[in-house]
Amino acid sequence: MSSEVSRVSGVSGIGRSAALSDNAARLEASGLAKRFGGFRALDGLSFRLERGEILGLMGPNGSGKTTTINVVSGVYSADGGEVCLDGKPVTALAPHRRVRLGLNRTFQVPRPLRGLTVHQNVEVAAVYSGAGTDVVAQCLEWAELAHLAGRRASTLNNSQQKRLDLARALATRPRVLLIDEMGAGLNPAELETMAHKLCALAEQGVALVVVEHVLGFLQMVSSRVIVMNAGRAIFEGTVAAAAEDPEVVRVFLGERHH
Amino acid sequence: MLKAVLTGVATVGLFALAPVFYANQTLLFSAMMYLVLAQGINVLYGFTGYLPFGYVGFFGAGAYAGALSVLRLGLSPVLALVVGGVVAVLVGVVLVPLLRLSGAYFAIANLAAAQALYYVVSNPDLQALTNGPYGINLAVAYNATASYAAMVALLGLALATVVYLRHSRLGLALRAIREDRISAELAGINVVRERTIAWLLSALLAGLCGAAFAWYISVFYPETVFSLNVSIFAIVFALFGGAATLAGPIVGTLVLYGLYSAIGISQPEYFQLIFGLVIVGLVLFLPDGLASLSERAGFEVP
Ligand SMILES: Nc1ncnc2c1ncn2[C@@H]1O[C@H](COP(=O)(O)OP(=O)(O)O)[C@@H](O)[C@H]1O
Ligand SMILES: [Mg+2]
Repeated sequence: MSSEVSRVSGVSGIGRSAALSDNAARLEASGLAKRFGGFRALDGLSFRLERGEILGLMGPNGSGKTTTINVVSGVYSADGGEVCLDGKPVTALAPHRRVRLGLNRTFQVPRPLRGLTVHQNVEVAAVYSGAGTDVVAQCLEWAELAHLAGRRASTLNNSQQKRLDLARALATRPRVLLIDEMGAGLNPAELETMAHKLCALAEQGVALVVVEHVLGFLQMVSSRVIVMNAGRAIFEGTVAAAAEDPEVVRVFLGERHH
Repeated sequence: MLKAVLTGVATVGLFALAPVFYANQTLLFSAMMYLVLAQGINVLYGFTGYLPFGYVGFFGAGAYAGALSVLRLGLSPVLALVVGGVVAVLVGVVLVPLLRLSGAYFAIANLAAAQALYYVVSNPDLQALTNGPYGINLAVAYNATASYAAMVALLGLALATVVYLRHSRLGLALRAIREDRISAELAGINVVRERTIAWLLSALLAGLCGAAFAWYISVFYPETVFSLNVSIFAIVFALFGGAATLAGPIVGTLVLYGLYSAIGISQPEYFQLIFGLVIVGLVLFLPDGLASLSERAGFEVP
């Protein structure tokens, strides 16, 4: 695997530390484990993400996709494994520290600060992450929420709340952004617009992990996907290859038979 | 913002001038004291959601620290106020771990902490220091006018603190934390740090208030300054009017304390019961108090 190759070449390089940080992925998760009681929600998950890359994360319900985002963002503490941002471990850091280092995420069920206005939701993130209030207007514009800036977040519909979640995350100027099921509930036109926006972010150098059920959406944004089952990666490759992979097919069909 | 500043200035002005027109200065002083405490509760509950039933612990700590620094260290009463505030903040620092608890667990642990302070202060073995259960006599420093003025200044400070919280980035962060802790963290907010600041600010106000009370009242007992009633009154006044606003606790204190003074002082035990029930009712059915009714009617509360 490519991650193995670069790790080895990093160690054998001449300027060891320099080579290591040059080759360090923007985000690297290794051997992530998370248990809820006796249940292993994550069971040794590893992946790498380069600058400007969009990695798709698929898998049946309950396979651990959201848990992956929770553990990487620090919302849940890991029971094992490590998360590195640009080669530096962040596994022990509180979520707000990871945010300030450039790691952010959205929620499958959006979680805006409901009693605050749309503007305040984005403003507080811009201020406290250190990005500065200059980015607020830009993020609201990006998420097509500028005309709703004065509204209470609780009055937004689901699609608007999802975009607010994204605007809040963007206001922290993330280098890595983890997006949990953006596609659910969007119509085809909205899906396509969102895909373009995410691709534009990646072109600016943001690395994205996109958890998604909508295959068409994944095909638009990412060349590489990881398929999860029972807390492990069972496949890594293109979306097209995933659809052909017998184990992936079995896992998804298995879900339907339950 | 302008409306809030005007409300604050009017309130402080009212109490500064009231003794000229109204003879019962002690009643005015008590009303101010509860106003400060209600705003102190507001700083914590309104902006973080923690309901501190042991709030009186800070008040009592401030009263004793202030009084003892006059009696034992010979400090001037004004300096003693500062000591009262500082000691309450130190108590707050010791109790910071309580903030890890939530809801009823926090309320109970905070109440127990206040009770523990009471037992320490009233312990006969500490009579040489605190005079134990026999209380404090601060007659040497008695000055009704100066201590009244100190409470007016303190009222100004308490109101300014709330105005600041409503219009500053710290206030925005605290409201974000109250809305959703996780989302607040993902906005980059250091939840533990900002919460601790609110907790200590709230402790400071109560400590200063306790020291000013000790100065004004001059003779008091441990039961007086560690009475659970002080917490209950301050909480009900803050919640009734509406937490997280400036005007809510002002209205709540003036209405409910006015009512209590008019009919309750002869039967205080009924009011303990009634106020206790009012707290339950408010928390369950009207968590944002009268202010939320007024906002529903389209009138923004400063
Ligand atoms: N906070 C939690 N407590 C207990 N179990 C959880 C918790 N979060 C997730 N799980 C369990 O972990 C498994 C993976 O969940 P999740 O990561 O949400 O799946 P996905 O996002 O892939 O649908 C599920 O079986 C879920 O019930
Ligand atoms: Mg999920």
